[in-house]
Amino acid sequence: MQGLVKRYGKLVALDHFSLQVHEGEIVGLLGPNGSGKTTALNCILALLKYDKGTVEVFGKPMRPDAYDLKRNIGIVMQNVAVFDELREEENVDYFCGLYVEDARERRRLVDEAIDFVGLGGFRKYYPKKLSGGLLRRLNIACGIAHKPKLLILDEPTVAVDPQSRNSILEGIKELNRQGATVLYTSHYMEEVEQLCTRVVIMDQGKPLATGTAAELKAMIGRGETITVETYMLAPDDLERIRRLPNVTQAYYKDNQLRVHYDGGLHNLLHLLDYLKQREIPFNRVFSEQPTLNDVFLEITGRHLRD
Amino acid sequence: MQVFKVYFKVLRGTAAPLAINLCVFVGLAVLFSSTAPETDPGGFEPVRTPVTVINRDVDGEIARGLVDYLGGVFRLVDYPDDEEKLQDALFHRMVEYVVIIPPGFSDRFLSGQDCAIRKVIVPGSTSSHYVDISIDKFLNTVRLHHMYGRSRNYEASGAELVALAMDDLSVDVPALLKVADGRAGGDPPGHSYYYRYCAYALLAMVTMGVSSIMIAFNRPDLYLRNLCSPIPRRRINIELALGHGVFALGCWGILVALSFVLHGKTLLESGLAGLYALNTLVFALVCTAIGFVVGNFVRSVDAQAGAVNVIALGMSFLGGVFVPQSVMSKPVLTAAKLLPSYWFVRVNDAITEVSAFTPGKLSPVFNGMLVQLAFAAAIFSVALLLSKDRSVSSV
Repeated sequence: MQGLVKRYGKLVALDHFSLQVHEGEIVGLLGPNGSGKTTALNCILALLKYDKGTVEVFGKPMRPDAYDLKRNIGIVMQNVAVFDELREEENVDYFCGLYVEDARERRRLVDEAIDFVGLGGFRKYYPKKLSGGLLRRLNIACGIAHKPKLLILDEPTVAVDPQSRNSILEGIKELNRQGATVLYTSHYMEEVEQLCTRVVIMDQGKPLATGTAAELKAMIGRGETITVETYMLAPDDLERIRRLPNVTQAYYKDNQLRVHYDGGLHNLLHLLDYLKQREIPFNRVFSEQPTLNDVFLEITGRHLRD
Repeated sequence: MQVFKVYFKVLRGTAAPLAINLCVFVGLAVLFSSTAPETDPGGFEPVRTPVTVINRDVDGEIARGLVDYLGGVFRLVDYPDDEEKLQDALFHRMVEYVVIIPPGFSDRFLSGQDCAIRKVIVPGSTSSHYVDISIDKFLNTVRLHHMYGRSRNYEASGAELVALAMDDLSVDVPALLKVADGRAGGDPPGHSYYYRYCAYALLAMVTMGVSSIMIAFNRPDLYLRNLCSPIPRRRINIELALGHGVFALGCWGILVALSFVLHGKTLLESGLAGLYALNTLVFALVCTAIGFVVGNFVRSVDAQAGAVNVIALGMSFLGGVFVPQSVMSKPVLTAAKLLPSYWFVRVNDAITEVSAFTPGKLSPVFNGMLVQLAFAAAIFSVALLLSKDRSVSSV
């Protein structure tokens, strides 16, 4: 996507949005509600007309009638998009059949897709009989059965239990290993961090940051946070801790000392040395590295969204 | 043909309401066809009234002749000459008329003396009048021959008079039934009722089936998923239209086949089966258009069931499916003209009136069908226009 602009009346949903996804990547598209993620996906799929910019898929312009391109794209919607009136197997067969005409080949692909998402025991079940997790897996099976080269997943793990989520994420990784390029949107930072080779954080229709999870964490300039349980910390000790190397912030509350660093090495060692030297007793010690969530909040702000 | 193939699998979800509608219709059709007149009301079939004759003038030739004559016209039932048993037979309607010929009746009749025949009848029995007329006819004929012989100075015996009278009364007078406007009038035949009720069945079944499919394919996420596929939207629509056509044709075929099961004989004798079937086919097209509208503008299955029931029952009642148009008030009929069901019923009634395949007789039939086709085209056009606007704005 290059310089894409999409307006809904006065609202600018995409503001010169550009995104490149390379073959073999798993790109995570992160953004708060209303940031333009779904609009961007709809533009890529030629479901929406846009005001300005270009969209190319596999190096060719993407248009509503670009059926040869669509044949190699798989889509997994945020909401489960299957026929309630069809059995699990029939649903997968129908959506696969939109891409693959040969009946024998389709049969093989349907079986593979059903086995891939682990729904082999539910072939004759109607969607209403499936649990939320199984439904999500069926939704994915319908999107991947035709073995797409580009797989677009729009928050596919919403309202799914941890076991099903893990199974879905492992499945996506396996599809990527088999050669599929993946564009993935989610609100779950740990998912994106675990899955994606590259992350794009967007807000108000614009990309704000792009890179690997480690690159993004480095970008916000925040290091680890160390928490120490201690019961006797004098105010002048807190002041001295604040002057230790790399410390950006330190405070003491409810018998917990929290110290933030902006990077550096051996921070924990230096802190514990200081406490020993001053004979300050302490119990448990925790060290937390910055997460993608911290990066996301840092970049997009902490105010509430719709 | 992936969409066409899945069409009938999706329709499985509507199988239960469709089957219920068909069963209700079959039940109604059987009920009404059993109460509707199946025979030609212009026809005549003699009924032999059960009559008991107590002949106490056993040796009288005129009395014996009367018994023989009545035996030829009515069904004689033997009962003993017992007042109580005869009363019981009349009470239980085993006989409707008891003739009691008194002793010496023949002699008194021939000598011109008073000789009344006693009768006991079921109160209010209309057929007793025919027995009275028959007795009078026989005795008057015998009396005529007796008086004629006397006028020629010839005294005929009782046996001779009876033979002459029987000879006269056995002459049949050929009767020709003239039927105005080719039909015998009266109520329409059973198959006409059947095809009229087909309007309700088609409205309920076709509208339900077609709208169910449209609701399924118009679910926003499914709609988008189909749009993302390499199948052009136009092809999906064509396959859906093909599915609607086959489904409507199937419903029509079932109803037409059922008409032959229930009314095959009269339908074939009428020579109007083709016209009835054609009118029903045209109406099936109208129902498909209505189903298309419902499916495009109703989102939930509950709302769909409500809409289909309101449309099917409302159009049937206002269009004159359940209540004949002849008994509907003028304002209602004027409003009903805006409904395709009104024109369906009008064409159905016009077909019933067809006695010859002349342009004059057939023009109201085909004009009505054209009006129905115009309704179908208008409904389809409006639905397509509005659904296009909505799909553009929703994406």
